[in-house]
This record gives sequence, structure tokens and C-alpha cells, in this order.
Amino acid sequence: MDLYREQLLDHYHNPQHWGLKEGNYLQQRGFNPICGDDITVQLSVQDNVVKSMQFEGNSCVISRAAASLLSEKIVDTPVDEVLGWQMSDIEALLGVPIPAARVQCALLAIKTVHLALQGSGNHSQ
Amino acid sequence: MTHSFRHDFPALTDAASHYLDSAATTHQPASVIAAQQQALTTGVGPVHRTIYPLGVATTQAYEAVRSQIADFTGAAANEVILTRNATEALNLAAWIEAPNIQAGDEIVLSVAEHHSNLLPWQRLACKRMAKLVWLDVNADGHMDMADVRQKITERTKVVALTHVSNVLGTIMPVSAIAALAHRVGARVVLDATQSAGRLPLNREELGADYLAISAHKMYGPTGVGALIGRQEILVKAEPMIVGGGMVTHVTEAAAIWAQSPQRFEAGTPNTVGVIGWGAAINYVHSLDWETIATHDQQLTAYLLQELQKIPGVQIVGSTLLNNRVGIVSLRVQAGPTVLHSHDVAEVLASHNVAVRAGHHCAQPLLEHLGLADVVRISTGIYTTNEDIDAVISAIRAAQAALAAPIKKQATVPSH
Repeated sequence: MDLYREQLLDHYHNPQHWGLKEGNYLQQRGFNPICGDDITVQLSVQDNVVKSMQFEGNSCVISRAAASLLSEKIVDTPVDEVLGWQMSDIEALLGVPIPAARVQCALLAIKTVHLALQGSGNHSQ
Repeated sequence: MTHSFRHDFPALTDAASHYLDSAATTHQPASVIAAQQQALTTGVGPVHRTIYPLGVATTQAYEAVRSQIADFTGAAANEVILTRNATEALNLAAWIEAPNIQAGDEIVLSVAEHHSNLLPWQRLACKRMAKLVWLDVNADGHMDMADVRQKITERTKVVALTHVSNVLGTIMPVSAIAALAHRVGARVVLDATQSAGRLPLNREELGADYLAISAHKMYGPTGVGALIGRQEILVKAEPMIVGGGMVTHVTEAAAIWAQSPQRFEAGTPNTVGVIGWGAAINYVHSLDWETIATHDQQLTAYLLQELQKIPGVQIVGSTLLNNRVGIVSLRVQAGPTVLHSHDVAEVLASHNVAVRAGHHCAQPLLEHLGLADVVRISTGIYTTNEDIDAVISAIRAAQAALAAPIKKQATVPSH
């Protein structure tokens, strides 16, 4: 199946920046109610630039691969730029067209990141 | 070899397509489609509102189905309220019971309830400062009657229960629980959506004060369901939705409600859907219960047997045939990783196998079982051994397609 190409499966089985950490991070949990995807992201931000992201949660291939790829791309990106990222950017990251039924999976990570950056996230300790 | 009823269903003529999501919705046989088409071709008039022949004929056809539903559930025609679906029926039951619930009262429900038989009671309990008490279900999907006896007390006003779990397929001990409920003066609200069309329903034998069903889960159309409620309750009950068709007299200041069940049927109903439902009830009767049960048991036995041959497949709930129907949930692993049900369903879909993935509107149940999401396979009268073969082979394909790429092993612990 095209959707499950090797790169995505690699990010699913060996995600980058997996695991939440102790420390002062912006933290936010996001859900995909349709299928039960559940992700928690942590971000560190300095001078309005996102310095790092880590995450964990129960997630399907698409949502986890999107989060993993996002966690690589987001490093050293200005907050304003991250806030502008949308589906087209995520699809570019994933490198494969996402079927309509899986759009929410693909968007979960970036939506959760946006919530964290917009200040509705809690600070982890 | 089970007899195939697939040829009764126009939507299933493609032998390469394998529909295994009947617990979500069922397909309609040709006779049900024809009944609706005929009604539309002859003309569907207003119900209960006209003097001219078309309206009278439509009203008679509509009321005839009400009587059919009454027979189907062992109730009287004036105890059948036609709704949009079972969800609306269960909301109506909660609405009718609301005045009986005071602060400190208890509403007992099973942890296996579908959200439609949970949320109305949760909201009611919140509004009334009543307490929700949960009946446990074990890993096999069965209840412990000692637990039930302990939890139904003189403070219990309502026991809300599913007849068959939409995730685990288990048949709950409804009559025994209803007896306990009635002993303390509590009312029993039964969600019979998964049992209607699979098992005979007798309201008295089950002990249900309210029974909710949906047509689209028993080979009928979408957009129509029913609440079957005891006459002595309905006669005194307030309607939930008010408007045309459920009043005898209206002035600027006030209105006088019609008798039950019309009192609960405001506005124009899904007339064609109701007529179709009548044809669906006829179809189910034409199959007879023994045939339905035999077909279900044989397919379920085959499915369970074949699933247990696949390494990495974990059946959620019982692997036995007793007290269950053809609804089987499972988790699938590829190596050490438990695959997300969404991905499994995606690969199955690419093999023309339709299953459901996720939490199945039963989040408390999944949490109680320590699971996040499951794949669900569910059969209908049109399901064949070939459908089972197809899902088995597609599951193996999913395990291969979603496995970690060979050069690296998985590092993420599975949930």
C-alpha cells in the first residue's frame, strides 16, 4: 500500500524524539475522537523560537509518523512560522497524499503543537 | 456450510466485497428496498392529518408497522413510540424518567454501555445530583451477579443495560438483572440495538420497562427507531419534543397533549423509513430465529477458530460461543508492536474488507479493559465463510504491511 511506505513505517516503529521529559516545557495533550489517537507534546521555546519537541501517546501510523517528522522539522523554527503550518505542510512532510478519512490523524500533532504554543497548554514541571 | 442469504441483498452482489461491520449498520434486502420504492411510487401522504385517500392509506400503512413492532417486541401498539433511532429513544426514556430522579438517587448502568445508553443518564445524574453506579464486566465480557446484587439497592431508580455488547458480543443476563431491579422498585431501560434481528425480543421475558431499537441494525432503513415503554408509564409522561401532531388542542396560552404514543411523535416522521422497517420485520420473520441463530453461531465459530490461528492476534473478550453473538473485537500485533486499529482497518479496506476501528462509542468499556482502541468484526445474515476467509487473510496482510522495515527493529514499546 502506498500509504504505508517504508519511511512512514520507520517513523512509526522508531519515532524521533519519543518520550516525555521532566523539565520546564509547554505541554499539551490532543485527541482524535474518531479513532482514539492520543498524543502529548512537549515544546521548549526560547525567544519565540521552538528549540525542541518531544511527544508520546497511543497513535496510528499516520499520526505518529507526522509527529515524528514534525519533531525533526520544528527544531529552530520561529513560533509564528510553526503557527502557520497547515495540512499542505504536513502532507509535504509525510510525502504521500492522505486519504480524507485520515486527515485528522495527520493533523493531530500540528494541532496539538498549535494549542501548546497558543498558551492553552499547561507547563510541565 | 452455512446457507447464503447474500443474494437477498442488492448492495452485496459484488463477491469481491466483504462487509463485516453489521454492528454499525446493516444492508437492506431487496424486499425492504422494494417496499420503500413502492410507497414512493404510489405516493406517500401525510400521516394522521388528512381525510383524502392517499393520507388515509399512508396512515394505515404507518400504523400497521407500529403494530408489527409491537408484535416483534411482545408489547401493545400504544406502547410503541416511533423515533429517529435508538439513541433518540434512549434520550426519551431518560427524559421521561427525569422527574423520578432526586438528589442522592442512584442510576445503575453497565460499564459496557454504548454512549447512547450512557450519556443521557450521565447528564440526568448531573442535573439531579444523582449517582451513577457501574456494573462490572469481566475480561470475557460477562457480568458477575454477586456484583450486580450488591449494586442494585433501594436507592436505585433506573437500571440502564445493553442486551448485547456492541464491542464484546456478549449477551447480558437481562432477565435476572431486571428481577433485581424490580424488587427495589427501579425501572429497567434496555438497549436492544444489537439484539434486534439477532435474537427474539420479548419485553415481558426480558423484564424491560423501556426497550430501544433501531431499524438500520436489523436490515431496515436508517432514520427510524422505537422506544417501547409500558403503557402505565407513558400515559402520564411529558413529551420531549413538542409541536404539530402531538396535541389535541392549542391556544395562545396552553396546549393539551394527545394520547400516547402520538404524544411523543411530534412533526412529520420518516414515513418511508417506517414502511421499510415493516418490510424488514417481515424479512427477519421469514428467516426464522433458529436459522438466524444457527447461521450466526456457525460463522462465529469459524471466525474465532481462524483468528486464533494467527500469531499476534489477541481476541478481546470471550473466545467461546456461549452467550454471545457474531461480534468479535481484537487487537493485532506486528512483531512486538500492537498495531493501531485504524491502520489495520485501513489495510483491510484496501483488501475490500470493511471493519470498524476505534473505541466503538464505548470508551468506558475500553478503559475498563485497559485498551485504547480495537478492531471489530461483526456479521449479519448475509455474511459468508468467504467473508471470514477474506478478513483472515487481510489481517495477515496487515501484519506484513505494517511491520517494522527489516533493516531496523522497533524501539517503541507497544501500548
